[in-house]
Amino acid sequence: MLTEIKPKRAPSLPEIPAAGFPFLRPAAAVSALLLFGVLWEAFRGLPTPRASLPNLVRETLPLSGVANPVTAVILNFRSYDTLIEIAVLLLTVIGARAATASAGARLSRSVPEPLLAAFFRLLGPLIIVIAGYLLWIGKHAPGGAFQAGSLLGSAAILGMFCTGWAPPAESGCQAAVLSLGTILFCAVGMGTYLAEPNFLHYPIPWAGTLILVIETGCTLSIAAALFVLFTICRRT
Amino acid sequence: MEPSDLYGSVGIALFALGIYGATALGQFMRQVLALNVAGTGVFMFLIAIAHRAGTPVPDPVPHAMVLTGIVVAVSATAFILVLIGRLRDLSDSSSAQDDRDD
Amino acid sequence: MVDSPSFWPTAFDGLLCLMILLLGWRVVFTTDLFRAALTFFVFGLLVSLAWVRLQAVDLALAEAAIGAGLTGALFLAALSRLRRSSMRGNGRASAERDSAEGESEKC
Repeated sequence: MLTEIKPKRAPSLPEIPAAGFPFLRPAAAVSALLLFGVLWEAFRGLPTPRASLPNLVRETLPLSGVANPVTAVILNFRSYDTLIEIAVLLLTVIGARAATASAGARLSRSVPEPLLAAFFRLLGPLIIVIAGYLLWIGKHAPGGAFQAGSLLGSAAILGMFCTGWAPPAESGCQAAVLSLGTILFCAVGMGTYLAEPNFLHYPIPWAGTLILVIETGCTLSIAAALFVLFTICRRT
Repeated sequence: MEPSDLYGSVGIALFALGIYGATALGQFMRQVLALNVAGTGVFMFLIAIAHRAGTPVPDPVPHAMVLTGIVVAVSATAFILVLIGRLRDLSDSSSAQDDRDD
Repeated sequence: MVDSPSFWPTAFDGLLCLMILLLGWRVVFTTDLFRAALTFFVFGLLVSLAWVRLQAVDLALAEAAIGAGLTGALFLAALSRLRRSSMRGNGRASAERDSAEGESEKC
């Protein structure tokens, strides 16, 4: 009856069990406000920048083999950071696989609707072509390996949902594609180390080609890594 | 106010908001969401700094750093989500509450 | 004031930053985790617009794909997995309580 209708009360946000620290929330709020104040004062007090690094990048851009300054910085001037980043992505996949190795549950196969499958038959090749375009255009305009790789990975996830295709748990082909980026990068690095005395120091006439080769490997690797991470997160 | 000042302040605000969420809230998923918000705030601050460099084209070195940072942030988030799921799998047999600090 | 050449870009910047702050607040302080994950997805898309505004187009592409899209998808996948494992582990009572909570959350 009318008396049994309880008013809706939204559940309050759960807190960290405050063992001996009952004022956690106000203390954290005050600390966050203080942090914001200190950082804002520091940001306001920054001196006017003397642009030295952008000028350096612009001057050496013709020697780098590409025309896009961001791609030049990522894959030529700071290529070691990118190598470490691709290796970190591979390590994450290895760690995620190791954390779920004993779970043993298969990915549940979703039942596809025919409309979704037809939609993906139209959209999938288009996404692949656009990803290839992004990879190629990274030399002249905004684009590059990461954008193309993430687009390919998203296409793979979309394909998994639209067509009901589920990947096997582990396979040699998967391992090969996952590690392709790191292996290519290290191979180019070792090649330049043996040819010239510096690791990842591209010879100038070969710089553009080497960058494209590395970017292609990284694209496939990033796509596979993102897809595998998604399937591991989803596994029941 | 220049756009870079505005976006820099917003980045700092997001960072402080994310840090509060990561320290004061309870469930793991909420803390991971708040940490991602904080990371996005840091990226916004870096790109605002790059934009105020005073050159016609913004400084590409922080752009490269933030691009690397986005990929590493996604990797870390995926890994910690896998760990949360695994922790839940290993400990879900006895607990009856749904809103516990898991 | 409306005729000055920098009014509309500044107004757009202000509105975008306001939306980003509001969505960031909602991500941290929403009660329902599912709603928080979706809000995070939209938050990432607006941050991608902010990258375009700061002349970082490569970052806008990468953020829209990875930062917003893939992170949001990962959160939703992990949430659905947690919900399934909790329903399986605790039996029917928790499932009923889950659906009751879900109904009380709908506006």
